[in-house]
Amino acid sequence: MKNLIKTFRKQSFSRRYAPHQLDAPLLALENVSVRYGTGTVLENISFELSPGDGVAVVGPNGAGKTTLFQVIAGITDPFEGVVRISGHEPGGHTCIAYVPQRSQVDWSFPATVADVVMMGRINKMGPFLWPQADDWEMVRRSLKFVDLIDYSQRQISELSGGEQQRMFIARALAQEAELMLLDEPLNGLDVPAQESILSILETLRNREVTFMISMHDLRLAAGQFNQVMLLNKILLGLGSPEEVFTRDLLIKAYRGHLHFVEGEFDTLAVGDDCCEGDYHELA
Amino acid sequence: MNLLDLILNPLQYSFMVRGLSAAVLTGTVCAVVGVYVVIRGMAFFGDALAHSILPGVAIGYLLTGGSREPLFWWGTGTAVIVSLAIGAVSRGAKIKEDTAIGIIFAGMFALGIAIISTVKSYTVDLTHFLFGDVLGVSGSQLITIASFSAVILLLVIGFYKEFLVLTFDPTLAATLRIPKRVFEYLQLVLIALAIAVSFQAVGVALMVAMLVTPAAAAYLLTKRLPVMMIMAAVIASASGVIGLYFSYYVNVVSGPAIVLTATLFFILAWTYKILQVKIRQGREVRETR
Repeated sequence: MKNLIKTFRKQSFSRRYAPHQLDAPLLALENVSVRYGTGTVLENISFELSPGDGVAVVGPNGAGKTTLFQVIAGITDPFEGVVRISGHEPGGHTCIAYVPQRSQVDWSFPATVADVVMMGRINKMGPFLWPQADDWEMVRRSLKFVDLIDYSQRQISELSGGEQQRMFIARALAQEAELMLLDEPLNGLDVPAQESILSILETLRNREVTFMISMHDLRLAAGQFNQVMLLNKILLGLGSPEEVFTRDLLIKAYRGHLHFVEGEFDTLAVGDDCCEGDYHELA
Repeated sequence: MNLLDLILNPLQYSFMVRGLSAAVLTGTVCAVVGVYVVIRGMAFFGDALAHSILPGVAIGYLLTGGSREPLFWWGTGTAVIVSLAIGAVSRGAKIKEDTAIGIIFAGMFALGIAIISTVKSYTVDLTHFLFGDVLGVSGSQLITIASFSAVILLLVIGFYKEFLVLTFDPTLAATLRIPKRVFEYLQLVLIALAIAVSFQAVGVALMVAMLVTPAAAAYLLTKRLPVMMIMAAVIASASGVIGLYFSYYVNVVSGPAIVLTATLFFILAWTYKILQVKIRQGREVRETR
């Protein structure tokens, strides 16, 4: 009887969505523009992604990287154009996970790591329902995947930057997201922490999880991802690093804030004024 | 007289029993709702909302010829309307939220006092409105308090997940399609209801202490939200009971006695936290040597 009631509640209350259209691309943007007030943040963006794509999104500050993610996640509405997730509008799906910048989160919030990861399961439960055994199992597996299982009962403020970011990836996993949007997850992390996140993303990509990750480090983007996107209000390029990170396109993206330095081993150094004095090298 | 007598003696008066029940109920409700007030930094909103119900109560008081029973409904109505009004005003971005709250707060409070002052013997009633009169709670009022407390607690527990996500990470709430505005207004209404329920017990001037103090003490002692809610409720209930006994034996007004006890609990929690940090630091220093 108890189970019957539970099933009834899950079926009648949990938010139902149209099934994915199998022939449609996982993510498709058609002529998407976003405006805040009188300013244009994104202009005429069109592209498609297939399952298992992993794209590094680069561009100067204010290029619209975060806005692009918000439009895809359905948090911001486009001024023009359409976003389709497996053939449907983003509002109809919860298979997208938006991994926020660490600075956007109140780390003094009274929650453990497991509590935060459990938040990804909320839509799998109906209203008035508490986490079930299968939800906790999913949380445990997600934490294990990002190597945080020993930290599950820690207060979130006790985590290092890299661990905080991994916790959010675990939450996206618990959400069973097919598309993850990671907003500058590598910012402020040391090299080992960055590497552990990159290796987690690589494993995810092999499991057909699609993700977009915004970052500033052009060399890292070129070295770690076989697809990169160069963005500055308009979509300047999407493809392999060789196709996209050309001198012409980089100048278009970074305008006057760019220095090319011919170094030994034919290295181009690209100075991006968003990280003053910090020269990103591009092989 | 032994300790048991000290505890049992006041209970022979039915007004004490009703007062204790009301103090525990309202303390629990305010503390649980207050957890979100503390986490979201809405203490000023809570204080303002409590003061703003005064004109509603005052009008009810005039229209019903000084009867206490209907005041609850007048208070509830005003609290809900004002909470939604503050929510709507702070949405129109011209004025900063705390400024908007300040304007509504002072204006409504002044209006309330102005209305009450038209009654000749207004000081006694005004004191009750400002500082509460938990020992004056009648049987039927207690039933109303209990039913409303139950509704508030059910809503907090029922929508726990939604409130949690919305408070911690509004972006996640948006991607999970949780109707943000509905729950934001619901949260304001819950705070309003908690205030209306507690009006009789602590009055408008000290209400913010019931919302904030037990929750803040609990915040220092735990790292999980559900535990924080339970601890806050326990601290608030204990403050209600201890405060009332204190008021009975020392002949202090009940509302301030309850609030002072809660403040004492906060100081204890705060001291404990500081000692804990000091001890941990000391241990770390020793370990690194």
